[in-house]
Amino acid sequence: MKDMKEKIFDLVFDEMEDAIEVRDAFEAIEKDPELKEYYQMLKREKEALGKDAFLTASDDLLEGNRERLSAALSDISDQNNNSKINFSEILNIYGKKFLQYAAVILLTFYATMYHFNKDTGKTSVTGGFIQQGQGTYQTVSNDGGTVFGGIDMSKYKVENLNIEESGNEFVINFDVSTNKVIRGAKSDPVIISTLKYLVEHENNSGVKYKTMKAMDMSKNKDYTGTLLKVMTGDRDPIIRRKAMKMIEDQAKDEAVREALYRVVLNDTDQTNRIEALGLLERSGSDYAGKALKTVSAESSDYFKFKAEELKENEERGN
Amino acid sequence: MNERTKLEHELIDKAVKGDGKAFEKLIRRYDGQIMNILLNILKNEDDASDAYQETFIKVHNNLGQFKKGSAFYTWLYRIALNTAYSFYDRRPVHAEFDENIHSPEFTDTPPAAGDRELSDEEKRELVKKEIENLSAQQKTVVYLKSYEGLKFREIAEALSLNEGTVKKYFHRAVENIRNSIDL
Repeated sequence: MKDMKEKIFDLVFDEMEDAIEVRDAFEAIEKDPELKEYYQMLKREKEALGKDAFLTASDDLLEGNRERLSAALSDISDQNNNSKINFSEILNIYGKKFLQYAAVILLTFYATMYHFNKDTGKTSVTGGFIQQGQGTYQTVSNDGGTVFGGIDMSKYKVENLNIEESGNEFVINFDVSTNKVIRGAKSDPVIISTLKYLVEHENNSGVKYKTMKAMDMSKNKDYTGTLLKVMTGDRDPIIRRKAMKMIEDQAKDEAVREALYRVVLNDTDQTNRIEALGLLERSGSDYAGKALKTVSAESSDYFKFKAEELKENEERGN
Repeated sequence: MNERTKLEHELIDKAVKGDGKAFEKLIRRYDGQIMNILLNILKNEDDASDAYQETFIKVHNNLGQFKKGSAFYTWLYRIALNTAYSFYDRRPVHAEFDENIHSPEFTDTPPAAGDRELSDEEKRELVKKEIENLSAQQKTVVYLKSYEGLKFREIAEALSLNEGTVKKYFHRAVENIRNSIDL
């Protein structure tokens, strides 16, 4: 019994990889009510230890730290580069002549730069917009405004900043984002449409998850269509599962059952398929039997086991 | 070697040669997970942020020592966890005690399950409290298993522990939760 409990523990917490062991564990669970109770208790505990039990870093926290790290690494890189220049070595090799030539080159360079700046009436490098791949820079408005290189910097939050030095040029590379606020009643069509859009079109799973939590809070049936789309089509299995959890109380609805049926047949994530099958079974739907008959020939031991169970029940006339 | 690992090794090679973009791409594959685990161990954003910086600066400075025979993410986790534990150790004991045991939030928890049925939300809060009361290593095991879905052998590798010990930690944590909350 102790050994079997350990096996069930492994089964519930996804540690069991051997198909025969999985089958044996399920058989033991079905035969012994005490083991079945233990299995169900572990499943509840696993669910309690889901993502909600932990803290998740906000996008802002992560982004802020990325910026900070980027700055720290660039300091380290500068220090390393500086430490590579050994002036005494240079002097020993080239002597004073080297310094004289260097001074002449530097003076010529500054005189040229001064000349160009005077021509354009600009005195600050911050007014310059340097385009990657071009030898010259295009100077843009610098009359105290905020538009540089065609971008109104005051409207955006700069993210993922990377500044590369290329000869006497800087290549300033960054992403921009801006803050927007949409406020409205939970039932406001604008709010509903925004949440739907974010879940259906955002690439970031964190954003989707957060949006779905808001949908869950509003308990609005208008989201069902979107949730079904996500449940059957999102690339992230956790997002698909979250969508499934959110529509579980609608499992008697025909469209929901149809979608759950498709999850049982097609989802690439085994847990999602098992969850979907469980929902169909609990909703008393014929779809559960239909799904099991379709998948009984596949390799999954769980589904084979459930299909056999269904067959036995049918033979017994249940 | 799968495509993902191959690409990862290419990024590591470039980053070791000083390619900043490659290093950025490499860490962005995992830094969200690392920030989450640091936050869950240290329980405050300031410490988690400092530990994040320290972790990735260590990774940057020691990337040349990474052995390609092992998984990059376990190597990265190990550095992050050691950093987090060093932060944990630097804290005064009473701070941890105050935060987790005597917080008003905790004393205001609803009556035990025997008195009335707890709502899902209340159960979740109690589970969170139980997790907070675990030792740093137990907390890490529970987090890596439940949130990240790692196998016990992967957790053992990241923590430089025996697989049996990791399993025992997790077992005990689940038992603690079971004993205090009637699920």
